[in-house]
Amino acid sequence: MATDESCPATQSGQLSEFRTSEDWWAVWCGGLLLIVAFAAVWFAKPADFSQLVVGPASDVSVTSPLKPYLAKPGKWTDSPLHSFYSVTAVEGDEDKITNNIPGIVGVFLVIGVLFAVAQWVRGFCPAAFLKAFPFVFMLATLSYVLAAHSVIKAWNLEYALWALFSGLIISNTVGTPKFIKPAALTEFYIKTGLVLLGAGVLMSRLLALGVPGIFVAWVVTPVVLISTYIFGQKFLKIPSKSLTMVIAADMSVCGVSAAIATAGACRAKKEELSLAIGLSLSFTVIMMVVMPAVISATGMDVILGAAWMGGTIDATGAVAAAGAALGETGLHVATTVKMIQNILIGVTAFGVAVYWAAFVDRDTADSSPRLASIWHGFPKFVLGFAAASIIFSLIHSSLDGGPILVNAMVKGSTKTLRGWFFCLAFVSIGLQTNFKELLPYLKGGRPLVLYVCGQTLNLCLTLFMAWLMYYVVFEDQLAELRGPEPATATEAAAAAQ
Amino acid sequence: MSHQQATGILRLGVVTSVMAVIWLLVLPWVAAQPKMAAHLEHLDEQGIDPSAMFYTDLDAMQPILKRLENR
Repeated sequence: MATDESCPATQSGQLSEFRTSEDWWAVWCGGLLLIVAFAAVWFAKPADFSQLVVGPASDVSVTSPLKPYLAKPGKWTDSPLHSFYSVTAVEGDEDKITNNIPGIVGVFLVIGVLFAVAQWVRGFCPAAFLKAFPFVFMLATLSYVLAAHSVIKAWNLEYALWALFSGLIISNTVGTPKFIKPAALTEFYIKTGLVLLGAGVLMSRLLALGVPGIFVAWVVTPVVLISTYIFGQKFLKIPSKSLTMVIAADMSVCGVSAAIATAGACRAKKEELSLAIGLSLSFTVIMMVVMPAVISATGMDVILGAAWMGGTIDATGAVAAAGAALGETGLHVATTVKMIQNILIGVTAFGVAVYWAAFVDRDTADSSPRLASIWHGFPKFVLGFAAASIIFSLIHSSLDGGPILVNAMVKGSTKTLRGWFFCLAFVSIGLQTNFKELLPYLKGGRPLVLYVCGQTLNLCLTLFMAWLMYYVVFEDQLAELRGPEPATATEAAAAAQ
Repeated sequence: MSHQQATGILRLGVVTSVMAVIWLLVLPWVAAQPKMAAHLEHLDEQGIDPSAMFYTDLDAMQPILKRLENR
């Protein structure tokens, strides 16, 4: 994303860039957190772990010892206090107590200390950051509480929206106080969160649905992404290339997470990211309700319908909710297709970063060799993202019990931290945005037209590809996936009765 | 306090009050409606969080991943 928090020393040479640039510091901070998170899981595993995982009944589980110290506000329905502390009655057992306060304080300390040190080494005043950070963190906590209401969750209104909203309320009513600005580090939070996200982008999960899954998720998606981008630029003539790319990516890949990654890779403006996310969330809510209804009403095969939804509904959670409406097979196929698309984020972000550095941002007057020029404009944090993805994919696929260790690390620590980084980033965007700045982007409704046209192409191509793969080319895999389950949602409903 | 500051504080107060009414009264009421309560219970049982951003955020993925990894 385009940076407003430029570091004074970034121009002073290649070596000093490692010490001062935000991109490299996102790599250092994200890398350090990943090392600590993996080490915690590694040392917490049972002593005979390697024997246990190759045994016949390999039902071994490992939990990160960091889990109790890293948390976010939990789901609530009646009182927001239950986000922090709740007691749930368990039938025939002791009450279950959930206390998220130590975990939230833990996250506050980890991010506060890490970023204060980073800002200090980069040449900024750490005291100014520490003075402002509690306020930004408090708004992020509030956003999580707003997003954690069970009805809001059921409607797929993600925390990113509420974080943005919390910041916007402050900046558009009383105005963002000056003392908060040193902690409104949008770019830094996003880039560090993306490096952590890399650990969940596991290439080894690509073949989860076999070759048909690859075709549905990995052939259609790039075609739709590129077509939508060209359509937005050549036909709709949207002035901003980065806005076109971010909308194309969030619509064709996987919603908010893809929008964040692509916005980072093509240095989109914060308003462009906000707009793309708003569009994506609005359409996801509609598609999550309408698509299962259409599939049931038309008597479409569950697997075909689930693959269609997995490839087209933007948000991962919404895909699961829509897939579950078609039964267990529907949930399985829809979420697995979406997972394969989730993994595409890494390739998309890398490809967009290279394209932008080579063709969009390249200074035509730059006389340096082409590769050097690309390297100069390349967002370096993408390297951290790619490295995390490759390293953890290797650990996941080649180490005995690798999936257990990587899952424990992601579930117990990096997932929570990544969520906080993104939440802090969206609060920061809100704090730095005036409603009036968003208006020019809505001019003529072109972003909306782009989204609708791109999504229409996505719906048609994904349905065609799912049909081609499961009904024509790999028909045998359809029966294997279905097992004893009914073929259509109508049959499933009849069987349930 | 300037007029602009006073207006800003008033606006913030109004927005905060509207939000408090929605989150503390309206949403808990919506959640208690039989149809919505049943839907929320169904999502809970299946481990589905429709607001999940990435597949690792989704509890419902865990049994699916386990099955895939044991294949």
